[in-house]
Amino acid sequence: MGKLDLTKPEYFYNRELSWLKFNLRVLKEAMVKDTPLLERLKFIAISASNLDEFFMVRVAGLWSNFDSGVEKRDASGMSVHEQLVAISQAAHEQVRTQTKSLIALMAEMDAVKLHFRRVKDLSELGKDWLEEYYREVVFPVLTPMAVDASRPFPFLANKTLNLAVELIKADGEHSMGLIQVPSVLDRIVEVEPEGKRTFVFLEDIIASHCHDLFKGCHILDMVSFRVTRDSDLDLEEDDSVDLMKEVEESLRKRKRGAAVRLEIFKTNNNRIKRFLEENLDVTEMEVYEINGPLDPTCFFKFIGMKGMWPWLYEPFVPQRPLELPDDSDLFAAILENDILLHHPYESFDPVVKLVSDAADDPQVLAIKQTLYRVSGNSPIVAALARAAENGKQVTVLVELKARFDEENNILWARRLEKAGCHVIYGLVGLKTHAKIILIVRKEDNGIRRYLHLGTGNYNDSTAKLYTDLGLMTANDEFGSDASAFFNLLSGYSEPPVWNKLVMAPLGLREKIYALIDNEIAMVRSGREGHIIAKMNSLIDQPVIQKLYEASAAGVHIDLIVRGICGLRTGIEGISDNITVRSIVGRQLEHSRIFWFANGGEEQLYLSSADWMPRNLNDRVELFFPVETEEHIHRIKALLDLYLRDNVGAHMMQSNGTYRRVRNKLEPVSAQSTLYEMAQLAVTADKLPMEKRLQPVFSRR
Amino acid sequence: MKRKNYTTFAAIHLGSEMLSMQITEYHNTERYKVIECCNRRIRLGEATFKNKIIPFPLVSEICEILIGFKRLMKEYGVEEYVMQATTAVREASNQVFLLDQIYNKTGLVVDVVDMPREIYTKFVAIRNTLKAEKISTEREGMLMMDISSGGLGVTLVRDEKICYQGNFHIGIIRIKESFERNRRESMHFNKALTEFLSSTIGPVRNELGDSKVRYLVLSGTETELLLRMLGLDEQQKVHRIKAADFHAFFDSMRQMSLAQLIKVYKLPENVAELVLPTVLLYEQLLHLIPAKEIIITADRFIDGIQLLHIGNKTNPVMRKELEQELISLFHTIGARYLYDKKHAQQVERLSLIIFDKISKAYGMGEHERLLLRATCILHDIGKYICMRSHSIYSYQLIMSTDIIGLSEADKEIVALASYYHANRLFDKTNTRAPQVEKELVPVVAKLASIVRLADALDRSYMQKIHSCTVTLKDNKLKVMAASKEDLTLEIWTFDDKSTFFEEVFGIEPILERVNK
Repeated sequence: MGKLDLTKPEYFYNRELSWLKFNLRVLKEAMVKDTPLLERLKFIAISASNLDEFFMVRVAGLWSNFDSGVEKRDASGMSVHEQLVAISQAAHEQVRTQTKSLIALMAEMDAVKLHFRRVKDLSELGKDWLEEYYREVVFPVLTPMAVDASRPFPFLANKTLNLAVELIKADGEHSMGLIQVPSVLDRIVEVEPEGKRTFVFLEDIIASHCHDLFKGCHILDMVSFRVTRDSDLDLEEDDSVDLMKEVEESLRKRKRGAAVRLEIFKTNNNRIKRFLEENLDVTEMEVYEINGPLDPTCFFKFIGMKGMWPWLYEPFVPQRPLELPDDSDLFAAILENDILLHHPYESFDPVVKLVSDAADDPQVLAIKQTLYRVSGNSPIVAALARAAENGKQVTVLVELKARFDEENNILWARRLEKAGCHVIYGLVGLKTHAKIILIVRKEDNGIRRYLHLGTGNYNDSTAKLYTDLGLMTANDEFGSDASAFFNLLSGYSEPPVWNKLVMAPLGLREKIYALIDNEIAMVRSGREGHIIAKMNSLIDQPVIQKLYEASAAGVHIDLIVRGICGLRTGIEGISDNITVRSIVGRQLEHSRIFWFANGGEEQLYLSSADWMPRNLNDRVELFFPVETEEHIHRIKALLDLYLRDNVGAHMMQSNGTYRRVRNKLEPVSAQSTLYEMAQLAVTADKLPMEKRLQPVFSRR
Repeated sequence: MKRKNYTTFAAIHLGSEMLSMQITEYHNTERYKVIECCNRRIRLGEATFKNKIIPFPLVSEICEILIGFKRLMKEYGVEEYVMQATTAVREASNQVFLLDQIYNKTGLVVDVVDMPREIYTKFVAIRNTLKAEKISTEREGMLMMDISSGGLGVTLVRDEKICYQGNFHIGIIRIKESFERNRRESMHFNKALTEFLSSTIGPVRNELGDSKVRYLVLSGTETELLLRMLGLDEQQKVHRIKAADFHAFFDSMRQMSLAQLIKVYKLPENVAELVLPTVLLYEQLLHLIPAKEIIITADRFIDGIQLLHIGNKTNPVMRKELEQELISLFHTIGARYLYDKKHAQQVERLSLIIFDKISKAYGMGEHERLLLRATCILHDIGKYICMRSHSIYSYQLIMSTDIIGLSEADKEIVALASYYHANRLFDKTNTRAPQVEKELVPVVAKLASIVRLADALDRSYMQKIHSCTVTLKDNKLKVMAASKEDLTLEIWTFDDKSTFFEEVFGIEPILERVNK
């Protein structure tokens, strides 16, 4: 048998188009009738917010490649320009779907007496109230800007909503003006005197009242529009820079990025359209005409308004972890057994408690932690600062380059430094994405190290939404690796020979190859080869080729990839042993789990890394084995549950589209099952025995 | 049971290629645990071997890393530390400035060890490992070859005795730096290098005489390279390689060019450059000393620092054994210069009886006792050169002999005490007398005066005194020597030689013959 050529472009999907498909899956959750109404609205807001980021980073990146004449084609054989064209096509299609869904949802909302109205359709009472609202609240913050020969087109900030105004002066001369819809005000305003719950959009309020805003001019027409700009941080790193300054500098620059998208309310007024296109320097394919409300991210705030609970999920309450039945000594509990935490079903509190207890424990000598993204008022940051003030040696590796969080990160990094922590501001050439806490404790019979290793960030807010796994252990081999890891990152040591941990970019890629090769070898020796891998994105071409190689050799591969997937299923002789499914739902699937049959002696790993080039080449990541049998079983059962999901799962078809899994089996939603299990675990001892004997995987 | 039963100790080694720290929790030499091990590569050797100067950016880099090490020491609550520097720092002409910078920036005090001590430190670690592996030297000898970046130490051990010890100024990096790149790339480099090595270490063969050697024990950073090329696990504590296997390996790679080495063994270029000198050196050694087996242990200098520290603190048995091995080395040196072994042992025995009586009151401990024994064994070796003024030659021979386990300062004390056992201190008429630095005067005088007294007790070189007891009362040291023979010569000499002792200790020695 000749060697297979696994590099053919038709074996791969384009990264950006795959991402757009993912976002479409999110958007389509808005159409699932079983889901509470406003939760469905939230999916529209999420997909819109995702799309914003996509344009700001990915599309902007492609444009800048295009401008600098990059000629490289991607794995699927597309040139930069071809990608931009295809993205524009797909995104236009997606925006149409989004608008259609939004309008349909608004109709459903109308039916449950949540009314969105134009100002002109309000009752007199409502109009009067709005008149006053405009005068008192809106008018003082409005800045009308005329654009003419002496007043150039102003800089409109990224993601701001504006009104373009066509004017005619008393002398009959036409001109243009702009009004920024103030972002300090609520975009959706409830008109209280209407009797029933009625809402109007801020831009409509402005449009209905602004006739006297441009002195000496008459307003002919008015169109709302929104501009999205290039916002990717592009740090020029050489070894002599102060990373902190560099990031601050780049943040300032971001506000002035080039426009990459113009969203404009559908209009026939070509003069306004041309005026905006020319002044924002966008081409036709970057213009999105929308026949509905612009920027649906405003609905995030809307569903948080009072009285919305009937159309939302019951509040999600992370439960007390199965393996930590009470609040007793956490260190003693970890020492006795490794502890596996599954967020958000199980509470993130123990992780916060671990750092917090360590800060106050007289036996603790040192705490070391990586921080990538933390919540606004992070209790972990507070605990670390307190630990330093209590005289502990605290080392914090802060990743300043965590996208969109840089500003936030600089702030509390300073705070930690002030408290006396040893703060390392990342590495020059790599982002630190690994999630690890190391606590050194001096106990009666010697130094002992306690660790937390996770798949997700140390962020107590997102831990309520993101599904992640965390492992707490006092295992010495893990502990000494953790020390070595921090020594390496602090510049105290060369890379060691690792006991348990695998680190990117030093060896993770090779480890993945080795694990896949091992399954191939199993098949060749007549045993079964099987891999189940769950991650957020799979786009690394060599890894995909390795998976093809395994599939061709007869290894069964089940991939649970939430987002981007460059691997193509169903290619005869190449990938017909591979399935790809994506789970989308109330929680954001974020855990990275890797299971290998290993001829019957299964191996299971957790990781902070996706199988993307950036994770394997340009980031510091950790990949670690789960070794206790109960934990392997617990996580394997979790994977099996995902594979049986026929509610939130979408299967990749051989043509690259995703289709929601529908079968005649009982409906299984992994996310709700897990939530119920977590709830059950807490109350289990209060149930009668016959209930307790019920297997939990068979959902009602 | 709750009690604090361990101590946290940090060993730091500033080597020629690596700055390392190892933090250990120890109870004793059997119960200890390494809890942290940091190794940071620094290019110290390359810089110093060529220009004898440590460049300033490197000094700053070293301080930066040490500040980090200090932080780690705090993180583990380290209670004791030892920081030692070896070849590269030892040879740097700006050594004092480096040490001063380190002290001012980190508070760490650096002990710069000389080559014999460096070799000894590693010897102690390897010896411990081999003992644990039950590799015995009882019948067949073991030649330990420590090749560091800057030097080569050769130690022959048989039956727990050090039978030979010699140190040479060739090391891998030194070899590399001695030949310029274009020379190293020359077709004739292999041959030239072979001759260079053979002429440098050839004398070892002569020294060893016809001693049979079974094991060639290799240590040093480059052994890792050898293991890697042989496809062996670098982490394993001990490797045993048949000499024939090594020869076969050597034959397979000897003709390879640098490019081929890089390709075949997947080595980075800077490492591959070291391969040839390393393997050639090993091959030469094996050619000179046809051992049957090569043993490679994973021990490093820092393991030796750690073991010596823990051993000295907690393990009197190990300390005694090590001391015994050192004594055997002193005898080996004595034998090389045809010393009178019986006389040396008699002087040692009598000196120790006197020493043990008075040491406590005069601030002398285990270490001075060891130096005293060395002095007793070596005090007469100058007679090999000249019978008349033997003491000056004893001094010179001791000063120019590598004595592992003794620091330069220790060696000087032994050499001076050997000289002054036969000469007056502060004798202005004696222009050949070696100078004694002020701070060394007390210890040199104490040791010399004791040896002078004990030497008098065997003036006849006939070991007439078979046992001896000593009492100390009212500032009188009464020596009761049991002998069946006539002690007239000894009594007269004792009287003549007792003044020095009295001057030093303020004690009057009195000799009495007991007829037994």
